[in-house]
Amino acid sequence: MRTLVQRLRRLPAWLQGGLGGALLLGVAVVSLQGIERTARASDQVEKLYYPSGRFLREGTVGYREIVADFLWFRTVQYYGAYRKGDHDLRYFSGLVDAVTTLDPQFIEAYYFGSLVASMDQDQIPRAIDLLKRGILANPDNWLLPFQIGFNHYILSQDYERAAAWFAIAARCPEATDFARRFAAFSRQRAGNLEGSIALWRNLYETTSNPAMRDLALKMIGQCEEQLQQQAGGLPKESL
Amino acid sequence: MLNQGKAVAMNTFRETVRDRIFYIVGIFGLILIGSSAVLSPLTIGAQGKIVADVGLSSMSLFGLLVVLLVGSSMLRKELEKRTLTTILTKPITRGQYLCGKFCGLTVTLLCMLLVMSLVFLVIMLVCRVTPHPRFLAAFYLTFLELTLINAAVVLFSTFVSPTLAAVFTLCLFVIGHLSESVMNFGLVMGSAWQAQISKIVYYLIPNLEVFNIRGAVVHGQPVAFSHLILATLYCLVYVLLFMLLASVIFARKELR
Amino acid sequence: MNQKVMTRNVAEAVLNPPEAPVMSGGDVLRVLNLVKTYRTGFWRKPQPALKGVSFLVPRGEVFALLGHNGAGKTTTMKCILNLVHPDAGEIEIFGTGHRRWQSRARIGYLPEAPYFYDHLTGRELLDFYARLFGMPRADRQQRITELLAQVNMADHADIRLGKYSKGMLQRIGLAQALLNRPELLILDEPMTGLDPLGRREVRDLLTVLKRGGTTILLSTHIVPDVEALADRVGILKQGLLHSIHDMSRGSAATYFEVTLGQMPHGAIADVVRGCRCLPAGSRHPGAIVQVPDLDRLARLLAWCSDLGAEVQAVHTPQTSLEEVFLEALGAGSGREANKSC
Repeated sequence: MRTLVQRLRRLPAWLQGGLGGALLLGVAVVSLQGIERTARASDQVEKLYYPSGRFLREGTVGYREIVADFLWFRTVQYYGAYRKGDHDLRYFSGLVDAVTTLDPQFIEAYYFGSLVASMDQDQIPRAIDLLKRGILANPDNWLLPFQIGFNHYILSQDYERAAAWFAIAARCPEATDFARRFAAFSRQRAGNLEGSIALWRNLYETTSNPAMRDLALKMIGQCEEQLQQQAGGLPKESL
Repeated sequence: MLNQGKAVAMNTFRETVRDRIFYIVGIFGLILIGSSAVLSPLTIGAQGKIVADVGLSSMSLFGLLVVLLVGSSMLRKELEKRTLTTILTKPITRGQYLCGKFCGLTVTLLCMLLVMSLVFLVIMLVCRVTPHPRFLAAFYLTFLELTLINAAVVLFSTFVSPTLAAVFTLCLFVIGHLSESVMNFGLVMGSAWQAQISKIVYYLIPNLEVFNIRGAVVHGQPVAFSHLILATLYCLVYVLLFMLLASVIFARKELR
Repeated sequence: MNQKVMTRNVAEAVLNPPEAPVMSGGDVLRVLNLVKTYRTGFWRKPQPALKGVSFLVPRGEVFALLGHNGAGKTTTMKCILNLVHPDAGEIEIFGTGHRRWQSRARIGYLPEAPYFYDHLTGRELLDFYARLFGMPRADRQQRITELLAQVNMADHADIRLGKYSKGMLQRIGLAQALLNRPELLILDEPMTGLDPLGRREVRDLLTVLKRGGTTILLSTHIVPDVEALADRVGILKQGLLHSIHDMSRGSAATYFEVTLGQMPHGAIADVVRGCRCLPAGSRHPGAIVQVPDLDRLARLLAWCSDLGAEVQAVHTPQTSLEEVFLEALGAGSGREANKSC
């Protein structure tokens, strides 16, 4: 060893520097590869140890929103890894809960979280619970009740319930015609023609969109026909 | 009498502007705000919110950094370097000197926040998010919060070392943001003395959540003008209290 | 008049100069029984700095505080300037309490080894201090230009203070002390860091100021500077004012030198036993006897007269201030006696 050191010392300075640099580089590459392997393996464990939203809410001392954003990035990346087949989304709901606890007005988190819960995890009740939590924190947001209605309509085929939720969405201050249209469709699909006619009438009277008015008029006509066929009579009110 | 304080304030402003720490923090803040635009593909529809969150939070964080790094060592540096001896032998009271230092750093913070606000607004426009006038309320309350913390750091630096002054100020910042939790903790615990202590801490330590409207502004909630007025008065009371205490302590300090 | 009586009168006049002037309307600074004890360390161990210092500085006088390192010179000045709070004693500046900040408008102060803001240039620094005096802009600029020329710093005024040498800092320090044309100038080791030319310039400047009526309180341990500038010198030793010397009357020694024509012997030797005897010179057979008090001088002269011994001269030697200073410190004089009589 001593002989080696002595031989190295006799080398020119530039060669000594080069050898030292190469050695450092080699060590860096090997260690980084090892770190990367460990990091991938610990990624799952890391999610397990994320504190609850309740704790984070206190621990972020006034920077809740930015920490929620950071967790949101991690959630999106976590989902991306799931789509690549790395894992099975077991910690996804925990992440979404943390994000929404930190920032209860983070609508996108409820929306995305419920979509993943219902579509990827087949956990429709959990998706609906998440959306209901969102509605509690954001009562004026129409998208969340609309999404509940959507889940009932598409996934559960519970059209009556879907219609009820679409109607709630339609009553929200910034609801678009979209919500009201779906409410009316759902009612019709559920067989509640009178309810459907009322919703289409409401849309006709309140929308500023000419295409919507035409559609509403057409749908009212259809519903009335169906009603006539069923009961042999007209509804109490008609245009 | 005001001239002396103004001279010290202008000198402090000049000192902090020529201090390299200020530039580094400012540049870092600008980079962070800019990077929020780069992270937009990961936002899944929440780009506007995230850009606004990053911008407002980094303004607050870097302002806090400047106050802690620069403010905590300002006075101690002058005491150790003995630059204070030639100043306090001029016709200026110690209280005026402290106020001058405080105002100088406050003006520095204001300039820094103005620059960062402009960059923030530009980034918002680049991300196609229309900035709303309520963001001005957020900038203003951030400035008030930093002013209050600045007064606290001036107070602490009159009697402890720069490191301790920074630590104490950070503790005040943390407790200030956990103020309501402290109060609730006391109520929940049930014991009378715990509730009393919680109440004392709650009323003694400034409740910094008063100045935190970042979430409300980002989510489009309205900000009442009365809230801005009350927050201003609240800040003013604590600033006056801290500066008064600092003046009393500093008046007794010996410059060996 | 009897020679004995005349000698005694001269000796008394030399040994007992008139008392220091009491506080009058013309006094700029009055320090009375100043006591200060520092408390240091975790256990607040007492460290006495001043143990009762009193002196007056009349208007127009240069009063120097001379003392060893740690004697209390800087502490005295800092007490006067309210940078340090004395434990006891009174200080009056211009007839009012020293804590009043308004009195500092008439004072200029140069600390020992001054430090200034590294980020400012010389000119900016002077401007900053001038603002503290509330000077209007035009006056500030004019005064700064004057002072920079006076302290020979005009060429370096726009360089940052961080790049100044010690001497340059001292000059700028002097300039800031003179900004307000002070009535009382307090200088703590003003010659520190200056080369001989710089010291000469500063001495000349202070002389000009003195002639202009500026009262100067000066602290130093460089005796030649004090001899050149001061009207009176207070020697500080371990927190106490050991003595005050009037430089205009010279530094009188506390003994008499009697030059005898021959070495003392016999009865004369008995009289001068215990006194210091020095040979008068290599070619002189006589001796110089240092007589410590008037009584022994009178007896010696009487015996010499009775016994016919030749008394060649009697005088009070003008001891240098350095010797007075060293004697006050207890270091003794450089002239060691070969023997004692």
